[in-house]
Amino acid sequence: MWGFLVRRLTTAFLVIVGVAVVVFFVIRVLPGDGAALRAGPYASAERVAQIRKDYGLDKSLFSQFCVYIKDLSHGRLGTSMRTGKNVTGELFERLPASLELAFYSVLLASIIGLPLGALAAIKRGKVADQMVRFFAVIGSSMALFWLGILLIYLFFYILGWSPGPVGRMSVGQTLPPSTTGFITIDALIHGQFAVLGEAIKYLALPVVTLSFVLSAPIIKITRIAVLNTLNMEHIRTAKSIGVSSIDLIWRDVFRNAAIPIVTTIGIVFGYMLGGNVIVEFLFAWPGVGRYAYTAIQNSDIDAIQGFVLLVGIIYVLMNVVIDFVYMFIDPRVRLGSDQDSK
Amino acid sequence: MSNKNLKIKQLVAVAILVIALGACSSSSPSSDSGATDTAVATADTTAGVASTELVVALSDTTNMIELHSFKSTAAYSITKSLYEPLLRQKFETRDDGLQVGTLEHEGAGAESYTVEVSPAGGFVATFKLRANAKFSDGSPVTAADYKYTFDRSIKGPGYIGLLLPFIGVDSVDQIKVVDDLTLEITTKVQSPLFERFMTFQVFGAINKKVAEANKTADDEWSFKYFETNAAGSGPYMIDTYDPENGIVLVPNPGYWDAANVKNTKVTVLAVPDASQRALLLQKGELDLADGLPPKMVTDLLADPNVKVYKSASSGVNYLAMNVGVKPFDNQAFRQAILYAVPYEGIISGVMYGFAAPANGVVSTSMETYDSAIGAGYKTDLEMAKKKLLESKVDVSKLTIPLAVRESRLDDQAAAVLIQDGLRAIGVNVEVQILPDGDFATKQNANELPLQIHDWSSWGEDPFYQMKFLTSCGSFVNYSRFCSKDYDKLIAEGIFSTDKAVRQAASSKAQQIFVDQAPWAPLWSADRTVVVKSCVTGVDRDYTLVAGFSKLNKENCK
Repeated sequence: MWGFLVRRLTTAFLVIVGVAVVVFFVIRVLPGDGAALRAGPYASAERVAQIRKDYGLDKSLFSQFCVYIKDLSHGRLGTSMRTGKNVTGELFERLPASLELAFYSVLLASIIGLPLGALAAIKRGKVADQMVRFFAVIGSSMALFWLGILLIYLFFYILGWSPGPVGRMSVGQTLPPSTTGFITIDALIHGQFAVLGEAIKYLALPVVTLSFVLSAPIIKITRIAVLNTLNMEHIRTAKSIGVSSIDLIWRDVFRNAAIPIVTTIGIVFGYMLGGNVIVEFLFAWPGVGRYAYTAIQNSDIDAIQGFVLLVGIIYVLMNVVIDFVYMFIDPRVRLGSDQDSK
Repeated sequence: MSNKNLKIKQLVAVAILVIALGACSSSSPSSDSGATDTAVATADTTAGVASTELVVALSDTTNMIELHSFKSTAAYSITKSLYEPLLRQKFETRDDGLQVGTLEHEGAGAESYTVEVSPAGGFVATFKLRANAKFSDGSPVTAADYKYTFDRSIKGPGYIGLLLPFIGVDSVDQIKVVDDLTLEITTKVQSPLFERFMTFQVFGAINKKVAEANKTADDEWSFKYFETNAAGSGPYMIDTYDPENGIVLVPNPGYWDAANVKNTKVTVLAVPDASQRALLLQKGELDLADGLPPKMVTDLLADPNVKVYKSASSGVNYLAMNVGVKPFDNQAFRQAILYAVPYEGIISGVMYGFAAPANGVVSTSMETYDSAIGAGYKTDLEMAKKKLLESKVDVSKLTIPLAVRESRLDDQAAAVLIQDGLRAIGVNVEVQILPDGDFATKQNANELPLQIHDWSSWGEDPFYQMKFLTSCGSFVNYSRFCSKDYDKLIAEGIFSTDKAVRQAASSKAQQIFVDQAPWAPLWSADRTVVVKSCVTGVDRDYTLVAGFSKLNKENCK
């Protein structure tokens, strides 16, 4: 197993290097750079040129690439032209906020999507199946921004059940000491249950917004995977010899259907990190999505580059995690890897 | 090892890997700033007792607080609160309670001052500083600190050095420390802008000792340090610097006018979506919301829980035609465009009445604005067609790109109306919405034949505005308009204190500008601020930047 992990991480590293190279060149195809914006409306041509020089944008592409690779090898992602701060620090300050939002959104989407997908498969062709599929269609066609605005208007403005869209925590609330960066988990670790409650309240609306949309693909893939598994001989045999439905579904059907479902959930999680921009913007969530949006608006090359690279790395690592989860779910994958390592 | 134990270990390993991704950082603010997640009291803690703590959300996010760098609008509100210039405007209170800055000034960082004509024909200004003024770290404010600020403006890498020649200062030798509490500034010209400039936050005292303690070999003026730190003597100091979550300002105990700071804390939240800012304000979770679009402000007028303050501004949004690019090198063609622009439609349909007609390069609220000339900007499709014929430009196969910035929704809406107006005379326009960075780069590279841009002159001086926006060779003259006669008139008026001379020069310049038509001036947006209805003390100064020190919640329960 450990051999498999090492091999996967090595492959992942090579993929990350490839992503880093591609990101560098793709970002430089984008029009404009932030020097003019950074210089401001009172700037002279000399001042703009000086800023470009300060940020290395006057060098040849090859020189810029060498500097980029050297900085990357030291974990540096450059300097934001908009804020003047180092991009690595800025991204890692914001990453926990995005990860926490993505994690709970995917979790809730899975809690909704898995049972509904299974129900739809089991009750195929019946009313329950049609209702679940209708729900999935609504979820996949729902505009995230519109849904978010609607939920804020209803639950915050009209009903007053939810706090306002001001980020992760109420104004003036002290955050728990940072251990994981997830406010909920950190509050739990440090026994700050009032803070945990507050964090959950602020997470609720953005998580519901995202999970409503995310549950759609999970429902669909679960339905298909469970349907395929239900049609397998060993399942039909188990049913015929009187194995209880709950045992059958949980122990046999889900185990066999899990691989495509886990893959979808992993892809959805990776997508969340890159695609959270709208929700982070709407809910004033201080995550990497909002950072990326501002960077793009300001043609902040290093910040855009850093964000794309970070998301790429997380995607690659997520795939490693998924492969690991496969081993846990499917013994054939584990045994295959053990044989390879002998 | 049993299968079950192996599975549990694998599950734990996966969980650790996932949590490790999130644990690779801290959620606390950057250590550069020295700011902490210190506990602060929540607002409105006791029922029936007015809170003195404010929660505000501005039009954008603070990107840095370096005083002499160009930065976001929110950042200017922060630095205004942190740094104290030598002078400030006197204010008058309107019937609705808005405090409007006048053209008269009084001492701020300076307890008293004199401005006299120097033998060389410029000014000699002597400022006596307040003995009781202190920086946020408790150290006294001295003339050396103000000298340091001016020297930094002139010699540092910021943009402020471009402004000082407007008051005839271009050398550090013109700023003299007479003694610890006396500063002398000599100017080469007698500029009517001199006192106004002395009210600008960018000339607020920076603590020289702190600055010099944080300089490096590459950064002589500590620009890097001040991007996330402050060392000012203004009404506030930073308690927490976390632009993404909330910047907390608390009163500077050493501020000379601390008794008149009407609140005990200001939390500046980053709420990027304007509609959410409006909702938060209506629900009472914000005390002030800035940067709300005109349509939203119109809707808020009917809400008794909020109050809208509006005042005229001298800012101008304009349609710039690049006279160096065909067909805009043709004067008659430009005049045709001028007559086809739907000015009134833009003010009512885009700005919902929260704007005045711009009517020229000199804004309608500025001194020397000539209304007889400004009336020349009007929609007249017949005249537009006549001018188009006169120009002999064949527009049948022409499509002109009109560039607007992605962040400016009002500009985009105006562009659509302009496109429609020009289509009515047979000119095809394609609206191009560009990311702000791309727009700025193309603008500087002279690649935009037609664009919508805006400008606001802090000093509200017509010649300052004309010089920057429309004089030959000016970097921000995006229409690339150049007229020697026009520049000569600017030179006549810019350093004159004679009102008649200034009026005459300005009127002639305005006439040339209308005739040559490099611009269609679209609107001068009103300065609007929306607050909770119980909040008082809203003010409006030269800079139109939101200030906090006068904001008062004593009527709020």
